[in-house]
Amino acid sequence: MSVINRITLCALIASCGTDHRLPNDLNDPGAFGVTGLRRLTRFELVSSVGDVFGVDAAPLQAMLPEDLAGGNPFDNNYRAQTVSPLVVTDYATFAQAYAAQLAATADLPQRLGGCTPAAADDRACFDALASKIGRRMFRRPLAASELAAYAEVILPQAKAAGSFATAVEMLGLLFVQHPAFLYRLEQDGALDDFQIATRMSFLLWGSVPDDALLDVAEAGTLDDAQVRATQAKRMLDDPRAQRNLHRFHALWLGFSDAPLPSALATDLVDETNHLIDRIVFEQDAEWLALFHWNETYLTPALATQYGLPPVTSPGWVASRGGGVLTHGSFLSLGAKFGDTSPTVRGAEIFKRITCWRLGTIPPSVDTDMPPGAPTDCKPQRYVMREIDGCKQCHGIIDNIGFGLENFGVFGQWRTTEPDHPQCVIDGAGSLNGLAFSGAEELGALLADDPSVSACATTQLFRWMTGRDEDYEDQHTLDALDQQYRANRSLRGLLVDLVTSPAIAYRKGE
Amino acid sequence: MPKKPLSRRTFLRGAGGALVGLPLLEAMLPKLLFAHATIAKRFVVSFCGTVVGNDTLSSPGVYGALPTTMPPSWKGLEPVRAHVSLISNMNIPVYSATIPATEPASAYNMQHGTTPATTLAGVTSIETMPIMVKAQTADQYAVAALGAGSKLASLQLRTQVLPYTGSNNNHNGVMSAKMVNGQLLQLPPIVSPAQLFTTLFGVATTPGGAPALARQASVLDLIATDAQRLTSNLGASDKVRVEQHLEEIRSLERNLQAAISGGGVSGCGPATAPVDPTIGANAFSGWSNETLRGQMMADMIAYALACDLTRVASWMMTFEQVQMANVVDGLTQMHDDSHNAQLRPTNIAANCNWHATLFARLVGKLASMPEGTGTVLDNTFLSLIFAEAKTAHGRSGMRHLVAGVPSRIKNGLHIDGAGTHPGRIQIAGLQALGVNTNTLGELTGPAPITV
Repeated sequence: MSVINRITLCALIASCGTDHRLPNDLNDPGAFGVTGLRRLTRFELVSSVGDVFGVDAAPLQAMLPEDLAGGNPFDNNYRAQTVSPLVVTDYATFAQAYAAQLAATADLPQRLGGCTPAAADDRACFDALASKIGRRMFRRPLAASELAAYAEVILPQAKAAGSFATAVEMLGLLFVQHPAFLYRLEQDGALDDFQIATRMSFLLWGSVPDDALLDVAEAGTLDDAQVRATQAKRMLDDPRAQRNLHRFHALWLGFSDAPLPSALATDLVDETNHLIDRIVFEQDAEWLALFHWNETYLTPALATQYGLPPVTSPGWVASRGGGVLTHGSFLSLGAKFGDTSPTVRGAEIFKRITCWRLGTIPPSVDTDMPPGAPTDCKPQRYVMREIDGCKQCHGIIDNIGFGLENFGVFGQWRTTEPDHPQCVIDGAGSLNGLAFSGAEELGALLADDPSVSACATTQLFRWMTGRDEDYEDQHTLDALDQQYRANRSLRGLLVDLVTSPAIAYRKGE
Repeated sequence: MPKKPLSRRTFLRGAGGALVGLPLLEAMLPKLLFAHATIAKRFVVSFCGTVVGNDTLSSPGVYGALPTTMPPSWKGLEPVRAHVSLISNMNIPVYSATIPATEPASAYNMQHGTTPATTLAGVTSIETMPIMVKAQTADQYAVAALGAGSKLASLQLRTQVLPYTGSNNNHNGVMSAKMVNGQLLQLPPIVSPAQLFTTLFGVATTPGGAPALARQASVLDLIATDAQRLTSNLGASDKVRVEQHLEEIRSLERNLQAAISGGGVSGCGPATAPVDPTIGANAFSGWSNETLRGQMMADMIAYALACDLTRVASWMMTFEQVQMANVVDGLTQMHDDSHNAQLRPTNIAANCNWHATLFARLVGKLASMPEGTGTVLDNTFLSLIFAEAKTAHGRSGMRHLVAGVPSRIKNGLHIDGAGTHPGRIQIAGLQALGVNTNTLGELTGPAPITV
C-alpha cells in the first residue's frame, strides 16, 4: 500500500486503498514523475561555490534568499522557489561579497587555472581559469564564443585596474549569479550526459559535479547504468556525500533549524551526524536502524546533559537504545508549554517517520491552551486521549509521545515530571495499539512497521525530486520501498536510483 | 541647463573601461539628500503577530484626539501622536466548517494564520493555521501604481528572526505576495539588518565604490545577453521562469546604471553599516535582540523611502503566533502572554507597546526628513496591523494604527472603526496616495479614516 493512501482523517487510521505494486517501475524512464525548473537551495549554492573555488561561503549564507517551505520537510520544493526583485538582489549582493573574497585569494589562478598571470589582462590564463571554473559551475564546457564574450568585457577592466584580481572578481560575479549556475536547466525527454551528471551530483553531494564526473560526462558514457553505478559508489565514498546526507536527515527529522541551546547545539547535531555516518558510511548497516541503534556518540557535556556515565573525551558509548529517538536534536521538536509535549512528539513521529497524516483540528479546539489542571500529573492533564471526538487522534499520537516522557526537551533523562516530583514517569506508550516502554522498544516497533520504510523512501523521493508526491507517483514509491527492503541499505538505494533509467529522463510540466 | 547624467554603457565604453584613477565627473557626483524632481508617494504596511493592548484608551466609546499621556500599550506613540491614529472597533467576519462564510474576507475559524489573507489581501481565508497570503497583497497593488522608477519595486522585511519553535510548521514569515502571469508569488523578506543595508546602500559601501558598481553592472549585462543560450532548449514553463529571472537581472542592471550615472547613492543613506545582533534561541521563547533589529530596520526603511530606493515596503515585525520572548522579563513568549492576558496585563501592554514603538520610530524618522515644503511623512501612508483583537484569536474589536498623508488621512485621533473590516484601511491608504482603486480582494470601500 502506498504511503499517500495512508491518509489519517482523525477518526480513520485504518489502512485503505488497493495494492498497485509494480516492482519494475524504477525501470520506467518516467518514474520520477513530472518536474519543473529547480533552483539551488542555500545549502546547495554554498556547498557548490565552496567546492569549486575552495573558499568557504558559509559565513555569507545569510545574504542569500531564504528557502521557503513548500509543504514537506525539505527546503528544495521548486514550486516555492519564486523570483522577485529582492531574490535577484540578494544573489547580487552575495555575489559581490563572495567575489571580493575570491579577488583577495592570491593563489586562485594557479590553483584552479594552473597558471600565473603574466599581466592583468593575460588572456591565456583567463581562458584557463574561466573554462575550468565555468565547466564546474555551469556543469558543461563553456563554448569558445562564451569565453570570448567574457574576456572582451572583463579583461579591459582588469587591465584598467592593473590587476588580474579584478578578472578573478568579475568571474566570481559572473558565475555565482548566473542562471546557468543557479538553476538546473534540463530539456524535456532524454537528458544529455552533463544533465545526468548534474542530477547525480546534486542527489549524492548536494553540489556541482567534480571534474572526474564531468570527464565521464564529456566522454558520453553516462547513459550506461554500469558507468553511473561506478561513479555513484565513488561519490558515496567522498565526504561531500556525508555532508549532503547530514543535511537530508536534518531536514527530514526536523532539527535543521531546531532551537537548540547554544552551548550544546554543536554536540547535539554532531551526535546525530555521527550516527548517520556510522550506519550509512562506516557499516552500511540497515538504514532504519537509525531508530533503534544502541550506542551513541557523546561529548563530556552531552553525557552530563543526558545523565549517562561521564566520558572524558568524545566517542561512542552504549546508549539507552532508540537511536535518534533519544537524541536531543530530534527530541527538541516536541516542546510546548515549557516542557515536553507528548502530543507534539507523537505528531512529529507520526508525520515525519510514518508519513501518516493527521486530520484537521476541530474549530472548537484551542491548541494554544495547556491541557488540564496545572497541578495534575501529565497523564491526567492529557485527557484528550479519553474524550470522544479527541481520542481518535490523541489516543494515537499522545500515546507515542508518552513513551518518550523519560527524555526531557533536549534529551535529559528524568524519572519524575519537572516541578511535579510526585509524578513518576513510567515511559509507557503505544504505537498503533502495540504497547511499548521507552525509546528502545518504540524504535524496535518502528523498525518492524512497514509504513516506516515506505515513509523513509517517500521522504527520500520528495527530497530527490524537489516536490511532494502525487497519486501518479504511487507505483514509483512502492517500487522504491520494495527496492529498499531488498537490502535495507541507503547506500544501495542511492546507487539503485542513480542506475535507474529515470535519472536520465525528464518529464516537464 | 540641466545636467544630463552619463549612462553606464556610455561611461564604460567611453572610458574604455578605465575606471580606477579617473577623476570624478560632475555628472557622477552624489545627488543631494532627498532631492527628487517629483515627490514620490510611498506605502508602508507593517504587521504585529499578536494581540493589541487592553487598556482604557482602546475601550469602546473613547474616541477623539489622542491624549498627551498615552497608556502603557501605546506609550511609545507619544512623540509622534500628532501623526498617528488608532482605529478601534473593527471586525473580521468568521466562518467555520459548519457555518459558511457569508461576508467578504472572512476568517476560517479563529485560529492563527487568518489575518494576512483577510486584511492584507482582502480575501476569505481557507485554512486554519498556515500563514496565508493567498492573493495579491495591498502593498503589491501599491507597487503597480507607485513603484516605477525606484531602485527596488518593493521591500519586504521581517524583524523577528526565527519562528522560535522547532515543531510548528505553520510559519513561513511571508506577508507579501503578487500575481505574475496568473501565478501567485510569495515575496520572501530580508531578516538581516546588515543584508538590508547592503541591498539598499551597498553601492556606497562596497570596497572599490563606483568602479566595483560598474563591474557588477557589466557582469549583469553579460548575463542578460546569455538569454538565448539559456532558454533555447527549455520547455515552456521553465522558459517563463528563467525569463522572469533575467528580467529581474535587467531591472537590477538598469538601477545600477542609474546609480552610476548619478554618482551612486553615496549621498543618500546611513553612513555606516549595521552589525546584526547575535541570533539566540531556546525551545520556548526566543530572542535575538529584535528591539535593536527593529530599530535598525525602521531607520533604513526611512532612508530607503526618502532616498527613493523604494516606494513600497512591507514590514513583518513579528510572526503570527509570536513565539518570541516578551519584552518585560523574557520569561514568557508573547503568544503565551496573549492566552493569559488577565494574568499578565503588564506583559500584554509592553508587548503591544514594543510594536507601537517601532512603528513610532519609523513615523518619527519620516516626519524629520524634509521634502518639498513638508516632510517625507506627508507623502507616505503607513499602517500597523495587529493580528488579533485584545483577546487571543479574537477577530472582533480589531485595532490598527495608521500614520502619514495628513492631507488625506485623519492623524492624531482615536477613531471608531464602527465595525468595518480592517482590510478597508488598506483601501483608504491606497486612495490617499492617489491610487485609483476602491477594492481590495473581496472588499469594497475605504475605512472611515479619510479626511
